[in-house]
Amino acid sequence: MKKKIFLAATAALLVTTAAAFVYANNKSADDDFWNRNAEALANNEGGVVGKCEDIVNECIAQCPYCNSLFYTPGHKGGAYGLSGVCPNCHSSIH
Amino acid sequence: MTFDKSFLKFSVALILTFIQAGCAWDEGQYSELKFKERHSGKFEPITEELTGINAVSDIFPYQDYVIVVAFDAIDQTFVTVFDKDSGETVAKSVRYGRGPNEILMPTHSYFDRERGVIGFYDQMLGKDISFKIEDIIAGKPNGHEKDATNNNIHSVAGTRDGMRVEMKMPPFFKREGSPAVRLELIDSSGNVLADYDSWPEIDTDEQKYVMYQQPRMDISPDNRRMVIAPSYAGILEILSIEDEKIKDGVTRYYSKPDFNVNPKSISIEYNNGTMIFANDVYATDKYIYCAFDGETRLLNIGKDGSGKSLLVKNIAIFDWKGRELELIRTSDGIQRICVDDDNVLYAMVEDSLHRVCLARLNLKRH
Repeated sequence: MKKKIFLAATAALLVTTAAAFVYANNKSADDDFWNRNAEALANNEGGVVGKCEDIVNECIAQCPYCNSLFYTPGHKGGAYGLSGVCPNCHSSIH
Repeated sequence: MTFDKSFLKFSVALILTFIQAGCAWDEGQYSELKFKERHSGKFEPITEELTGINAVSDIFPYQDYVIVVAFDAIDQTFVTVFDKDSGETVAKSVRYGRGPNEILMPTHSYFDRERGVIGFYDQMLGKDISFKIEDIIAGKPNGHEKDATNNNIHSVAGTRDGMRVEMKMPPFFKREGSPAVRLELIDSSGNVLADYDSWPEIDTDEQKYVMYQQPRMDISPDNRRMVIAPSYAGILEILSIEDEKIKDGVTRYYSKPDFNVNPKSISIEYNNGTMIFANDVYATDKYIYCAFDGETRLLNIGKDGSGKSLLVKNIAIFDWKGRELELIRTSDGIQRICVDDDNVLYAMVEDSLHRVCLARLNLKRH
């Protein structure tokens, strides 16, 4: 009985050590990836709103003062009813 | 007071001549589309309905695959690779986001057919990122990133060896003194090899700015010629890009731009005549293929209660002199098209319920 318990304990220790080893080796790459994502998402700013007509073309609006693009994925154009302040050049768009 | 009869006749003839010349000056360069051949065609679906895929912005054939650039709302990816025979989805990649290997806008995509590289000039993120198709298929996208800080780029088309043509236009309200040249041929290191600064004849700057915000642009596989077509007018522009130079070719004028422009946002406003002509163009060495409408008044869409949906159902084929060769009428809405070396046209098509699938059409013309 003691021998069985010893073998089970040894096996459990080995599995735990292996799992810890794998986690430690993957952690840095994953963390770096997610940190960069979180940092990027935190910078998301929107200053212009509008609607996509969903007829043709991409749903892209463009600031006529600085050419900054406002794009909505998953919709077709044309973009209309734009209003707000361009986050790039701070011009009013109506 | 009396007039000499011959003087009167001469005067009337002169006035009539001027009136006629005036009309010709206004409309003369535009000629009605007259296709040599018109027939119907039927798309064969390759895939089931592709749930979640919408807003297709490009499609390319590559070896045994068809690469589709569209937003997949389920997987939040922009690139889907299909087996072109079985329709099986081979890979989904390039996620929506601001992180590594991610993009926010796929609209300025370019494809290097020889190297099998797809790239995106993402102006929202300020990065130009390219991927090898092999890496995407292997599930290991490894984007090569460069800064992309030029806001004036409106379209990009890839050629070979990492070269591409970029179409630029300065901001509408800051055109004066802007250094933006319309077309530039650029090598893989970003060096400008050639430029071109002519435009088709268009009545107003507002119309030009709106028409060429999202131009359709493609380059022939032999890298000799390129075609540019705006969607809101029937103008087909063909240029030579041989010997690393951009040269004049042919510009065909088929339908005048007919829309209003909001004077503050410089965006399009439909009127009774507004129509879509080229919904997409695709170039082969011999022909120019165009997903084509030219008959539906955009202002009337949805007024019959059927919902807002324009299905561009025709394929127009032109030669490289811009001559109308063939019009194929189909029953499906054609979003984007490409043609492979076996003369099969692949398209993302949709029905009136916006159900999208990949389909193919065997072309007669070789």
